[in-house]
Amino acid sequence: MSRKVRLTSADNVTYEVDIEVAEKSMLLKNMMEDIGDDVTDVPVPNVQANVLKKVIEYCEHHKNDPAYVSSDEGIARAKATEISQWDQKFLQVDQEMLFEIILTANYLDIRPLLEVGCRTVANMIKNKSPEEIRKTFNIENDFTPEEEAQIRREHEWAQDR
Amino acid sequence: MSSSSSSSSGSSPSVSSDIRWYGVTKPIKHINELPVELVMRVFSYLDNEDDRWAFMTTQWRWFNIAVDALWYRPGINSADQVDLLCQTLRAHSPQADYAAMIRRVNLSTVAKSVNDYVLDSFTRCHQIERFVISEAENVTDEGVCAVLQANSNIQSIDVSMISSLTDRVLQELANNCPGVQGIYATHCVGFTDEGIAHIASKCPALKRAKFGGCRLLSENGLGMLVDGCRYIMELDISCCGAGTSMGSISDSMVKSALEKLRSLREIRLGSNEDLTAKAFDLKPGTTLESLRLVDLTSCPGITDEAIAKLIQLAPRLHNIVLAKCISLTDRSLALIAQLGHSLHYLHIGHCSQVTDRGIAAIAQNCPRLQYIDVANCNRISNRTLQELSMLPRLRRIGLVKCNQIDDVGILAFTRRPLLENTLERVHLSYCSAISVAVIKKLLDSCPRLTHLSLTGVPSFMRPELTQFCRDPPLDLTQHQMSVFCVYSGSGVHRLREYLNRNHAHIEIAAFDPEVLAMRQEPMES
Repeated sequence: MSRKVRLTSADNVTYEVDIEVAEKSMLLKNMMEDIGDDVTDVPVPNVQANVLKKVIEYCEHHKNDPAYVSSDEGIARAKATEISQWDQKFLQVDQEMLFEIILTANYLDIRPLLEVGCRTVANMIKNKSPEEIRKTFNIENDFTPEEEAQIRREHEWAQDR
Repeated sequence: MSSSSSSSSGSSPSVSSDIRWYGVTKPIKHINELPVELVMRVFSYLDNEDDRWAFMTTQWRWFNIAVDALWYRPGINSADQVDLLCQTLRAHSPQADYAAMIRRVNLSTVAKSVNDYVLDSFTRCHQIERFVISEAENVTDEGVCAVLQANSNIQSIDVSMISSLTDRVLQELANNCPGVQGIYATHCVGFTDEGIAHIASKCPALKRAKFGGCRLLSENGLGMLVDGCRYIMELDISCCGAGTSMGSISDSMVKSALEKLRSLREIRLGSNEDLTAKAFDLKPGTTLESLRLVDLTSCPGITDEAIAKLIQLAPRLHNIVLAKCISLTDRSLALIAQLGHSLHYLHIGHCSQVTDRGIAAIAQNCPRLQYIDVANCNRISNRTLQELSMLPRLRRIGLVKCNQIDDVGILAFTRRPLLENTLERVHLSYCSAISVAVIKKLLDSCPRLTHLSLTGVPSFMRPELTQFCRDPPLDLTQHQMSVFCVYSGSGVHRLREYLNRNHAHIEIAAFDPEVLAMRQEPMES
């Protein structure tokens, strides 16, 4: 029987999880180690319940994954499009939730979730024109036409391949 | 989203309240609320230039995030790109100080278009750390010195093959960039001991010193270098002094370098007629734990005795290059075999006294060998291939002009007792007995093969097969052109497909008793 800990969100919702699940977060893992064996309650005061629930769902699913090893950039790039089916489905959420998940993964230091979240955003950018990207993320075009033309001219060397 | 109540986690018995929480405060609604470091992470997953460019031109915020990355190491592949880049550098943009963002410059792929005007554009930069202009023959001392004066943070410079440069460049480098760690100056025939003296006295951090082919460097200058730059890890002094009145580097100079440079990992000493075993005569008991590579190409004075001393001195060598050390025999190979797991790379081309026995010792003791070249070792036979085929990690094998090799030997490589055939590059030029049938078998059994050279192999001298070759280099003679036959990359795949389509049932002529016997009886050592 695995040890349990209780994670409490900013809005005071408590989730009981196996310690291995909580330890997917390096922040929580280090914190619990610092405090000692008998820790049972851990507040996560900067994360709202709906996001915490999602992040726990991810950690539950991945609790038996091998420990995360930071891959060098080259490898990370090569695998950029490889997102597992389960993760893809897991991240089929509205943009606000996606950003919250990324931010929480960053804050709780859950590197694989941070990576897969950022890759998902990158995939939403790929193969689009700037105008299409702006539409996707509701971004305002703050370049004047003159600025746009100048930047294009200055970077012609990078376009010419 | 759930309603957010004020953050109070009630009584939390085990977690002390002084833990500082930071990070998420209020729900994020828009991508522009993500912190910069996370947007940079997203950007890092955009792997093609079009996507990066689209990202940059979406909004100012993203332009500013991505522009550094784009200019950090400008990717330059054509003369037109050089012109356009120079235009931008010279124009002083109101948008951003692009020149200041450049850290790494590599113009080696467009070397012919690089001249002093191009270099002058890079004097607008002042943060360059790596500067590579190898083979840029049209530049002068003035152009290079101006870049050095503007960029005192240069850590690594590559001016290889630029014969017009003189000691002034080394002097300027020493004066302006004392932190330099890498000087790549092979075949800079204008450099002399005088220039090296400046480096020796002012650049103590130097780690990589590549002066191979700088004939006017003598052991006077190199002696100063070794005294002044004790952290050198990679030293290339091949050909230094050769053919000049100063003479080649002496044994005592090499010995002193090995004694003084305690971090030395690589040393290249090729084309030195005077080098002998005495160079490795260090104090008894000395070992060079960090030495991984020794290149003694074309050092005729290197004997089995020298190899004995070298192996004792450097027990962890990975790479040994002994091409054209013509006095070496199987005894050297037996000594090298003592390196065991350390040995990854061995080049003994033109060591024509070597026999199957010597190579068997290597194959049986060095299971991590990845590369072996035995070109022109014409005493070796199919037996050697049988031995080498047992090496589990072998990726490259050079057998050029090994006249005794025929289909029987090659067949060993089609039946390696391994999970996957690791061979990537196979050189069989001028092995005149090789048949098309055995090459087909080799192609079918080596899925990773990316290079196969068959120049001068009579069975391949027909248009039907040479059509998949890559183009010959331009500097070949008419005769060399006519026998050129090298398959690389997609050419290998196309040859494989062609042979399977049009010669599916081709049989090996020697596929008779001898071959069958070969298959059934394992070789004796």
